Amino acid sequence: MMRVAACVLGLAIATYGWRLKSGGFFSGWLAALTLFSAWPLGSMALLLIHSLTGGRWGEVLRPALRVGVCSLPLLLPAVLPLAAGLSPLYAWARPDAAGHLANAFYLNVPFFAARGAVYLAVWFVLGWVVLFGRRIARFAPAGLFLLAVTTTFAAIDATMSLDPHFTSSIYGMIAAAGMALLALSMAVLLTAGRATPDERADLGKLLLALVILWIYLDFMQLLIIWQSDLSTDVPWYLDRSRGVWGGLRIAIVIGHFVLPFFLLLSPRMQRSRAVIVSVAALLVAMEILRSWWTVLPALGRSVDWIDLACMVGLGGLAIGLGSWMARRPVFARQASHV
Amino acid sequence: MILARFNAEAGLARALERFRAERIGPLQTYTPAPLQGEPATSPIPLIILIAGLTGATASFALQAWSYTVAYSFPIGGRPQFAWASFVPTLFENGVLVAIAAGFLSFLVINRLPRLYDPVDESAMLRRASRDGWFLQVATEEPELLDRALVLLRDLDPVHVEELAG
Repeated sequence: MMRVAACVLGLAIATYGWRLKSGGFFSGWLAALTLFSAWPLGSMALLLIHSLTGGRWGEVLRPALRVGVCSLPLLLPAVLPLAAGLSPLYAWARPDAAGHLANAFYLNVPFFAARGAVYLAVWFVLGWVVLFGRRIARFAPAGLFLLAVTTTFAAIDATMSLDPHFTSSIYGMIAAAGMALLALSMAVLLTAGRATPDERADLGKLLLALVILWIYLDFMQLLIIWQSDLSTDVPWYLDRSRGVWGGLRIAIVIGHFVLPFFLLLSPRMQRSRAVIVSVAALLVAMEILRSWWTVLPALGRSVDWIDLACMVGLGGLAIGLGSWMARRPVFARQASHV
Repeated sequence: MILARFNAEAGLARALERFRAERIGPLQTYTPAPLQGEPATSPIPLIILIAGLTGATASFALQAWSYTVAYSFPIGGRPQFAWASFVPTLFENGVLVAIAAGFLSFLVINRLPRLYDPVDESAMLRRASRDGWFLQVATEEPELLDRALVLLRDLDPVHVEELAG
C-alpha cells in the first residue's frame, strides 16, 4: 500500500513537473530510467553468472534477483516519455546542432530508435529465458555476451551521447559494473533479513569485489581523460565538477568507494546484518546520486524536486511491479526448480 | 610430547575443548582441513592492512614531494601536484608492501624456515594431509604428560603416540 501511494504520488508530481517545465522533467526521467533499467539488467546478469558458477550467494539471492528481473516490463511504458523528449535532451536530435557532428551517421533519431528496439527485444528474450528457462546454464554464455554488448551500447546511446563529442571506451563497462552493484545491493536489501551470518559474509565479499571493480573502472576513465587532456573529453568532467556537482563528486567517491571498502574489509563486519544492510542501502543511494551526476550536468541543470519525484515514482513502480509479478503463481512456480 | 589421532573433526574438537578446560598445553593441531569454529587469532591481516596503508601513503608522499619540490618539471601545462597520475603507483606500492609484510610476518610468526621438528618423527602424521585429525601436546613435563594420557583415554582417539623431543 505504501509502495502504491509512493509511486502514485511520485508520478503525479513528475507529471506536474512535465507540465511546468518539460526540460527538467526529461532529464530527471532519463536519470531515473537509467537506474531502474540497471536493476533488472544487473539482476539478469547475476542470475546468468550464478547459473554458470554456482555458489551459496546465488541460492540466497535468487528470489530477490527474480523480483528485479520481473520489473523489466516497466521499461516499455517508461521509455515513451523519452520519445517526446529526444530534442530537449540530445543535441544530436536537434537539426541545427546535428549538422556539425561527425558522428551524425550513428547519432540520429531513426537509428537511435531502431537500436533501442533491438536492446529491448534482446532484454525481454533474456528475461524470459532467465525466468522460465529449464537449464539457463546452456544459454548463459551467449546470454551474458548479448547482455554485455547491448548494455554497453545502451549506456553509450542513453547517457554518453548527451555530450555528442565525449568518447570514452570504458564507459559501457563502468555502467555494467554499476548495474551489477545496484542489482546486488537491491537484492541484499531485500534478502538480508533471512540470510545466515555465513551467507552474509559471502554477500559482503561480493559487494566488496564489485565496489573495487567499479572504482577501478571509474578512476581509469578519469585518469586517461586527465592524462590525454583532449578538448573533446575534458569538458565532460568540467561540467560535472562545478557548483553542487563538485561536492557531489566527492560525496560519491566517499560513499561509493571509501566507506563501503573499509566497512567491508573485516570478516566480522561482513557477517554483521547491520553493516551489510547499511552498506547496500548506501550503495543504492550512491547509484541514484551518480545517475543524477551523469545526466543532469549535461543539460546545465542542478538537482531539484522533479528529479526526486521521477526517481521515487519510477522506483516505486519498479519495486511494486517486480514484487507483485514475482508472487504470481506462474513466476513463483518456476522459481523452485531452476 | 604426545600425538593423538582422531578419525573425525568432532573428536578433535571435543578433545581440544577438554584439554583447554584442564589447562594442559601447549597444544597444536594438524588437520586435513581448517577447523570449523576456531576463532581466527592471527595478527597477519592487521599487519597487512597497516603495511598496505603505510606503503600507499609513503608512495603518494614520495611522488608528491618529487614532482612538486625536488624535481619540479612542467609537463604539458598540467599542475605539478598531479594526484590522479600518482594513484596507479600508489596502488602498486601499497600492494607490494602489504604482500611483503604478510609473507615476512608469516615466516616470523611461525618461526620459519625450520628444517626439523620432532613431530616429523611420527610416520602416522602423514595422514594429517588426508583423513587424520591430530592433536599434539607439546610439553616435556612428566606430570602434564600423565594427565594428558589419562584424559585421552576418555576421548577415544584412534591412535596415541609418545615421542621424544
